Amino acid sequence: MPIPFILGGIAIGAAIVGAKKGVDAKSDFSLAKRKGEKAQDKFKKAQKKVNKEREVLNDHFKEFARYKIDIFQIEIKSLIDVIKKFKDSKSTASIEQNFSEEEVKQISKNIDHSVNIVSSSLSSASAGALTAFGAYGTAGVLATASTGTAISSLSGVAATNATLAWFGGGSLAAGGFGMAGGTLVLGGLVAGPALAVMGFMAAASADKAYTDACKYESKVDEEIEKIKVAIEIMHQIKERIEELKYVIGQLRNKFNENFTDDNKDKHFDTMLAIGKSLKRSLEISVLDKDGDLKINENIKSEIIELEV
Amino acid sequence: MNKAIIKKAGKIKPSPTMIIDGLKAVVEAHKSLKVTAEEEKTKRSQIKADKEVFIKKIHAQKEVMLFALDKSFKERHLNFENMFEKLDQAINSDKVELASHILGSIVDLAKDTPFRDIQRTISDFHNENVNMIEI
Repeated sequence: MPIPFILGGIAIGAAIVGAKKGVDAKSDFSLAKRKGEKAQDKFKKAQKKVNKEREVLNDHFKEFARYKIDIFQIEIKSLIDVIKKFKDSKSTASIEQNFSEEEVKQISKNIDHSVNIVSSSLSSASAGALTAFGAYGTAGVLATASTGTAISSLSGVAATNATLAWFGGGSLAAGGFGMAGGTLVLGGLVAGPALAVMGFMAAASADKAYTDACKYESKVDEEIEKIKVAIEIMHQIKERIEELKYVIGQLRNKFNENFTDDNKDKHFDTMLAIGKSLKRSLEISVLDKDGDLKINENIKSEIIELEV
Repeated sequence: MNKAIIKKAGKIKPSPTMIIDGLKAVVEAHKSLKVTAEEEKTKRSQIKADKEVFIKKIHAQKEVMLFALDKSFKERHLNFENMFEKLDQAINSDKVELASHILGSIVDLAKDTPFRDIQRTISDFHNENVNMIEI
């Protein structure tokens, strides 16, 4: 009879198509998984890069801190010694104009503090203190709790540590084969279409899995672009450090050019004025709360103001 | 496994109703697959388009920020150079009061961070509601 023959052929054809769809589904799931894994690798590389940039920035802060400490221990110390010499004699009005008694005390404390910062930075517990000193200036005393972790937030828009959930494509068995397979006992024609249906079902899931993989990849690419911006901002922070070093350096030179410990010298008042400006410039924060680059509030709470 | 099932099933004689129902199921499943495939294709196109828009926006904002900062740093450096020149002139002329005044201006400019001006630009990068940035 021709009809059953044809129908038999259709059934076998349907079975073959179904089997092929099942195989395609399996490879589509693998494709989705590979896409997700590739995106994950890309993201990890970007995170690694931004962390490296953070380390470089921290090194710049430390170097800046050492530069400022050097000035404290040489130029500012010389200034304070001269002030104390003449303040006691109360012979110079210009000293009182430029520096109050409280200010002189505070500066002396800052000089001592700068020594402590250097020695404490040698221990890992206070490893972040020098970096924070470079970032925040001399306005506050930094708790030993200021660690590299705190510094990691300084760049504000720095890379997120957000982990992106990756949709794990289920195995083909979970996709539907297991359930449908249980009903496979009827005639060849039914088995054929049943197999095709299972294959289509599996393919539909793989399609969605691939879409989810594309979505994940897209999110990763967006985050990587944000990371690139964060890195650029860190480069600009380095520019700001260089700018302050330039200004402080110029003031330091002019202070040394005009230094005298003779209150009768014509440069004495000029030296005091420059010294005051030099001291004020050392107090300038690279990451200032007014020009806030979203400084983590936890860091601020770790800064204790000097008590005069 | 598929070959074993086909071989085993081939030995059983199906009824016409079973055949028709089976074929109907194949057609329905195939239709459903096609619809899903089209839907997912559309979704993926949208995902790609959205990503491209976002990245273009980030690039544009980044360029604006870098341009503004570069300009700011250059202008500031020129201002500092001019002020230090004037300071030297004041010191050499023994004009202490003028020198003090210039020193004050130097420190005030140094305190005034260039990031203040572009702070809004930076925070806008993370504000999904912002589509335009002004400088």
